[in-house]
Amino acid sequence: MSMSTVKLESSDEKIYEVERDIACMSVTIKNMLEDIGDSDAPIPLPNVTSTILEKVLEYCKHHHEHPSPQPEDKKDEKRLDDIPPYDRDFCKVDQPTLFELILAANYLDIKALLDVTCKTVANMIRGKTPEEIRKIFNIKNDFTPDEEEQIRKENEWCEDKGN
Amino acid sequence: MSTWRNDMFAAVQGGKISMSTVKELADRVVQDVLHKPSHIKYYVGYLNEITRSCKSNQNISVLYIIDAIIRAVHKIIDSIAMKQQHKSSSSSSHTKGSISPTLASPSSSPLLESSPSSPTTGSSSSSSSSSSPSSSTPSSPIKKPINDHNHKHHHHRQENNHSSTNDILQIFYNPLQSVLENNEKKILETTPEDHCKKLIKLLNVWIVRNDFDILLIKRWTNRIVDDLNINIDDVLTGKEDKSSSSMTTTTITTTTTSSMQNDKKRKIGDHHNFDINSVLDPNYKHHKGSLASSSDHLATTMVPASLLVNHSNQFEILPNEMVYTIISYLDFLDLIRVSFVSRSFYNFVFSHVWKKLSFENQVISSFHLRKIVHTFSYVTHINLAFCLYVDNEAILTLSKYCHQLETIILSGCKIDQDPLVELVSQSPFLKYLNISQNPSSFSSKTLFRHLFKRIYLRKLNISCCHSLIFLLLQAKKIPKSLKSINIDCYCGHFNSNLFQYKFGLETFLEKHKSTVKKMRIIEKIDIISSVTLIDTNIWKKTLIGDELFTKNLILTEKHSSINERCLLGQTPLHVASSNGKISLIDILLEGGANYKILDLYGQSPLMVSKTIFIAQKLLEKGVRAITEFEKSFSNVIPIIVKYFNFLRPVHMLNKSTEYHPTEAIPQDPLEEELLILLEYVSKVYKLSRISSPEIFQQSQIILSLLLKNMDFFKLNTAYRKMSQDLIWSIIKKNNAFRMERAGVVFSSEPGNLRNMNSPKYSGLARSKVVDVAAKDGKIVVSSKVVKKTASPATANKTTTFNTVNYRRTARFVKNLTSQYAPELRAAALGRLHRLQAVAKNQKAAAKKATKN
Repeated sequence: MSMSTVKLESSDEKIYEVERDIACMSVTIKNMLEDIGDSDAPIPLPNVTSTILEKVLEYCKHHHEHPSPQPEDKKDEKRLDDIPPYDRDFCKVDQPTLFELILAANYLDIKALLDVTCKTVANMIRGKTPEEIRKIFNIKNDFTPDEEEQIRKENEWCEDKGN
Repeated sequence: MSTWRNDMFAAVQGGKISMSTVKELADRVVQDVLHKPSHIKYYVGYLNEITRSCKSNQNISVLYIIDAIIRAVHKIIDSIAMKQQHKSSSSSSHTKGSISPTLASPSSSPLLESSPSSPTTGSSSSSSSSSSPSSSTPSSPIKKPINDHNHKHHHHRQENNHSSTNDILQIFYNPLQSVLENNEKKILETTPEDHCKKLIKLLNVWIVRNDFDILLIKRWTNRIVDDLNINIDDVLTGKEDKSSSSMTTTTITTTTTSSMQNDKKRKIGDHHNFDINSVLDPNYKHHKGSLASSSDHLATTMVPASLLVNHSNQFEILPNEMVYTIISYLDFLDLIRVSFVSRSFYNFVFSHVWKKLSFENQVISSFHLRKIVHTFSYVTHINLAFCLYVDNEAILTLSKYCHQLETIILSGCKIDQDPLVELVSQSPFLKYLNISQNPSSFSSKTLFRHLFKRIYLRKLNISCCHSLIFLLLQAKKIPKSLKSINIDCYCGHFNSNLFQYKFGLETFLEKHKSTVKKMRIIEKIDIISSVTLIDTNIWKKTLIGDELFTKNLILTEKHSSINERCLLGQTPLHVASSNGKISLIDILLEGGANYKILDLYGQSPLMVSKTIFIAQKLLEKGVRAITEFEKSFSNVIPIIVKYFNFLRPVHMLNKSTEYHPTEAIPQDPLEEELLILLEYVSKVYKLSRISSPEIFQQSQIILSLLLKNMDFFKLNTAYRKMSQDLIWSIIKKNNAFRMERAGVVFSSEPGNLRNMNSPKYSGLARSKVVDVAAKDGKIVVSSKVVKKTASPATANKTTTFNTVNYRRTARFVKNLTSQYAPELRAAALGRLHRLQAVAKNQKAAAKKATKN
């Protein structure tokens, strides 16, 4: 039985026991498992908190149960509107969680999750004015007025096309 | 209990509910339930009943009652906690410790009533308690130590008494939450707008206190904010009018006793990694400025200072490559906008790392391209496939500024040889060049001379460039790195000189079999070689309608060529759709074909449907209309299907039944149908290219059919009221009466008094028309009855005069016009005068003739 499940330890020392196949959707965990071999010790994931890990596992579980027919060579296609419904709902979380999910997906090397979360953020940016983007992500405008004027001038050709 | 029910119903349905009533009702519930926990289910039943049955503007009252119950529970729990603490920390009993230990004893109610404020006195009483979060600004520095203290206190107590308080909470929380859940629909959908602000505030209080399921409450908040499109900042930071109701959230929060405050903070301490901003995301607009200015206010009214974690820029926590991944999904316009946001974004967008640019199928003018290329000069991958407006100059700019190019895709671009040679000679790192389907066929060896100097070149695609293909086949030396060549052709150019092609290919393969690994060639060439030769793809098979083969190819090639854009940028789905291969559409869509790819002319597979049945099939199969044109196109489809019997050619009908076109005329045409058809047809006229001629024709036929049906106009009064200006703008340049003589435009319709092509005199466009005409030597004056404009046959009221009576006629015209259309008076009299003069002359001439 020890083969089929894996123990994962989050940064706040909570331990989750998950199926090996689900855990192996993360390339990082897969590599770790190969390194440590047959062992019962929980795998420490110091960069992931328990709340985020729970969400990640929820995602992995769903995609393990419902494997989506992902074509392999779609890497060149950068489409923003092909997020499947489950993933779209999954990404309807607050901003800090979303960004932490990106970090976790990056750390755990789960490509599908990384794609989906990045796309969600890109969708939040898409079609917005700079002012709106600043508001949404609480980014400080650190241009001096002169600089801003200059950038605007440089790129005003694209403004009229965009509108 | 039943009295409670009656009281509550009376309170809620009696209109405005006062704070004291709410408190009283809530206290009664709490007292009773603490005696007998099972009673909660009756109360929940009552609450459910009232929520269901009350009017929409009373929803909020019920929610206030729920809120009050929860607050009362918190109070009780806190009093237990206090007592416990006093017991354990000091053996002597305090004054507060003398409160009767039984929870439900009435002596706890004095404590409740000693709360420092009642809603009506509001802020004035809050000064009485030192630790209450009054509106005094310096409260935040004071608060912190209190918070720390409470934190400890909470921990201490949690050890002792965690389970019992939890139990009490559980008794109330779940049933009350079920009330909320059960009535979610009613509360969210019927609460009037002016109550929604209060609702949001209430929900926010719950979030802060962590009452109920936080996800549920968050969802509610987001939904209300979404629905109303209001700025949540405005609502939360105040600006509420006190006059509107005595029950605003501020008063609720200030009514809390100091012990309540403790309780609140305990709750917050429990969830210290919980962030107020996160609750309201993603719809919460983080505005640093407004947060900073309002933070004091927020801190005093809603949120304890400890909660106001400064919400930082989330992008800062991401590593750079993540930011790149995110912004690489954006198209170039968004990129430019993002670059305005801040310095770091500017650097991200314009940094040297930015490499791949794809403008596939975008309408991008060469001016814009020059600008972009100038900006992104470190680009390594550029994809300009099927960009109609890319010209030589753009390519020259590209070669001037971008020297790092590795991948160049220029399929379907109209470019000449010289710029291309320039570009190739300026790109030393070129790995992949795609100039397939170039309409301008060039044939000099210069291109290959430069191209074969590129030592990294791995892939070359010159499909459909016929003379280039022959040149390549004759090449003596190719770069050692070149592994994959595409010399396919989709347009059948080589059918006439198949032998030449085959011969050239054979010698080429013989010479270069050690270098080249893979080649795409045209069909019907039988050559056996060590080089992998691919002579077919899904596109070609779709074109000839080979279902079985297409199926097999889809299975074996695994999506790689199902969306391949061949001739004119068409995908296999385009081909199936435009050639009417209905069975292949199923196969392709199930195989994962992308219906959003456009062809060279910007047409989607849906738009090029050959017949309505193809379009119907596509729509059935889940193809969605994306552009406005596609939407109106897909709206037209069901209408054509409805009237298809009328359109069907005679030979297709059953010969035994007589075909009566009149019978097929739709009996119940709908106004919407006419409008949909009109919209579609007018949109087609705007296109440079009619994408599906058959469907266009059919919709035109149906449109004319509907327009011919006079009943239709009688039924649809809207058309009688068509504005004169609209009619004028339609007919002014295009009507049967228009005459152009020596640069002057005249119009000859009846009712045009001066025969001028102008809106003032037009007999067609105007609703009030006066006509003066001569008929058989008599003057006929007629005027249009305004109400009958839509049925021209019966609209005219006519009076006939003999020319003899000049004065009478003139008086009649004068009277008629001065009432009916004064602006036409002069013109009408003028015309009458002329006509009479002509008639006089004619009479005179006739007399002369008879005399002679």
